[in-house]
Amino acid sequence: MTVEILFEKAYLFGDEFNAEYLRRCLPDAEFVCTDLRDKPYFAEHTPDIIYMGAMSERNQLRAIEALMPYRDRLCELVEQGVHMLFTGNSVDVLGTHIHVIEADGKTENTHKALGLFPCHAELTMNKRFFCSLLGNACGCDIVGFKTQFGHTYELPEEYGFIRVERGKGIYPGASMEGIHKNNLYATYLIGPILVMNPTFTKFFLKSAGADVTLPFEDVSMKAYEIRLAEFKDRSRTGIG
Amino acid sequence: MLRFIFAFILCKASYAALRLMGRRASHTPGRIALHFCPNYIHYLKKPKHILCVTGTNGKSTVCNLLEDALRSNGYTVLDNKFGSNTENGIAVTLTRGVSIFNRCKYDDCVLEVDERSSPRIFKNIHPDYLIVVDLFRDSCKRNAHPDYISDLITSAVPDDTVLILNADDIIGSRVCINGNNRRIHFGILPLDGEAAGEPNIINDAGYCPVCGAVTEFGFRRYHHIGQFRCPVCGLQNPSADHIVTAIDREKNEMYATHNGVAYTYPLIQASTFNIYNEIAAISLLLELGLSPEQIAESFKNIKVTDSRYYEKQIGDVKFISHMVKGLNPVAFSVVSNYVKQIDGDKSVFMFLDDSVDIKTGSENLTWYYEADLERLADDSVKHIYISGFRAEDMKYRLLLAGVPAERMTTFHEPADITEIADFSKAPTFIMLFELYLYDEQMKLRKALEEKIEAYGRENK
Repeated sequence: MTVEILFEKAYLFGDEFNAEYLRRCLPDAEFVCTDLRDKPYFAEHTPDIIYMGAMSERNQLRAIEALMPYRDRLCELVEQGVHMLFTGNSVDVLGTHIHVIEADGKTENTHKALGLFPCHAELTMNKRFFCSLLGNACGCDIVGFKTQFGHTYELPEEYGFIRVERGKGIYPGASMEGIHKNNLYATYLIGPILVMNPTFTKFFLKSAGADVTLPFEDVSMKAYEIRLAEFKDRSRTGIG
Repeated sequence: MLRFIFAFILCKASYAALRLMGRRASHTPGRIALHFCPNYIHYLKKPKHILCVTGTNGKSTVCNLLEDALRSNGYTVLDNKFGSNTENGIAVTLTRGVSIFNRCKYDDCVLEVDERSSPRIFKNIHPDYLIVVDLFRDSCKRNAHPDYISDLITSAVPDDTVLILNADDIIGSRVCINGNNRRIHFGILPLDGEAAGEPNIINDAGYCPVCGAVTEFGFRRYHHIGQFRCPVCGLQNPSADHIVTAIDREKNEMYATHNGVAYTYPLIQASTFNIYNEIAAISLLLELGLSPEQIAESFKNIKVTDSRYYEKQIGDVKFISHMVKGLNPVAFSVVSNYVKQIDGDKSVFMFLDDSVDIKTGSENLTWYYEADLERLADDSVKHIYISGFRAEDMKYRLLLAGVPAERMTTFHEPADITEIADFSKAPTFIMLFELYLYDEQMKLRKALEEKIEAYGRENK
């Protein structure tokens, strides 16, 4: 099994550990780390899993620039059913463009993105958004945390990833969070999501061909179940 | 102007009333004033020199050094030492600094400025000097990332503010990089016997901030602090004007050069963070016209008071209580490293449930996974007690960090530590508590000290 990690040195918000967790879960897999100025491994090969995490807005634009020449190849791999996971604000690179209202509240910029999906991101750099989220996807309860400068709009419902039970979806008021097509999963959830959601991680890896036992799986499940019970407790405020 | 006068009277009156009630009044009077007059700070008369200090870590220490040195050299100094470092707190501080006729009573004003609030603060305050101690990751909810904070500060600083920057910080040293500001840099050479830092999970300069190439560090002290070089575009740290060249821990001396000339200062505290703090303060004091000798003299009796740290020897057990700033992974890494470096075996009690975070959702575990908790897998850490609603999550993080399961105990109620802790496991017992749990920590500290005393009596 080959796993391509895109732009790992730019990761933020604990997403470093999503990449590390994949390594721990798949000790026999080959990991290829692609940096911002490298030609992606997927350009000429077909990895089993591609992962990309949250990064600064400046590095996000560099990531788009790095991936743009291989946009069509990425589309092809999505259609082929290659497993991909995009977390945090890496969701933004998948839409058609990113519209940014800069921190001064006046200057506006629009940056072209990969256009893999008919949606776009809108960022307001002087307004930080965060929320907790409880949802369901792929038969798994999913819990996580969002912290970001904006949202994705105009995503057709059919591409929704997580059905939201508590918290905010891909934009405030949306019933779905993230993007899903074939085996591509993208979500604004950070956390790191793979560590925090062992049932989804097992589903994702099994579907990619690795039916694995997670590291210290019993402890992982116990922590997850405690968190899940808290999130499902409607008397507890502050979630959402 | 009428709005200002109204807000000014309200601010002065509410400050006096709150103080009479025994409150700190460091925030609310400012909020009231700014509510009625958004430009309130602009209209307040200011001291002759406004010296601001911002950055992620070290702001308070640098401010304390500046204030003490200036006062001991005869200056009158207004400060926000006991107040908030946000816009509201600075409004209170400046109001304290003027008479009821809005006449300023001070020569200098030393302001600690919250880096996230800097655009709002610098809109109405014109700093003559600004020290940016360093820029690291802090709470991802509030501060996003250092690149963002650097941009925020850059967007807010007036062109004629003199910047005093950490040359070893490739992110912080690029604040206002395209501006016209005069720039002064401080740094620390690799010190005698100083080894490059252990690997950190966080390095926010993994890619060059200019060209995106993978970067190289000649000497990496920790995280992105060190001698940075981009092999593609050639970007490197600016050269420092004020450089610490060596320290002598036994003599408590620090040796520095200023534009090539060597001087000796008292070493206020030997941790690397505090050496940076000291040379940052010296850099500004020299700019203000103090001589190296005057600075050295005024630093002689200064002690860095650390409200985050408490230590007491109780019989055979050393008890330490150390604050961990919640959601701040770099601070958590520093504390973990410190725990590892304490001589001898130790037990650790983690009391980290964040009473503020629980109100907005407690599931934010990002900082657990950005902090270098691998340091706690050291063999000298004999046992880790983990309390609270995130105990199993922390246990999982520590398992992934390499801490054996048999060295951990989890439990829900923090107060149960007094029954669970086994003081025979190690001669040092360390409680790590979260910033917002200070009051609860004080109660637990007392209970633990009593338990340790009882343990001592039983084992005599």
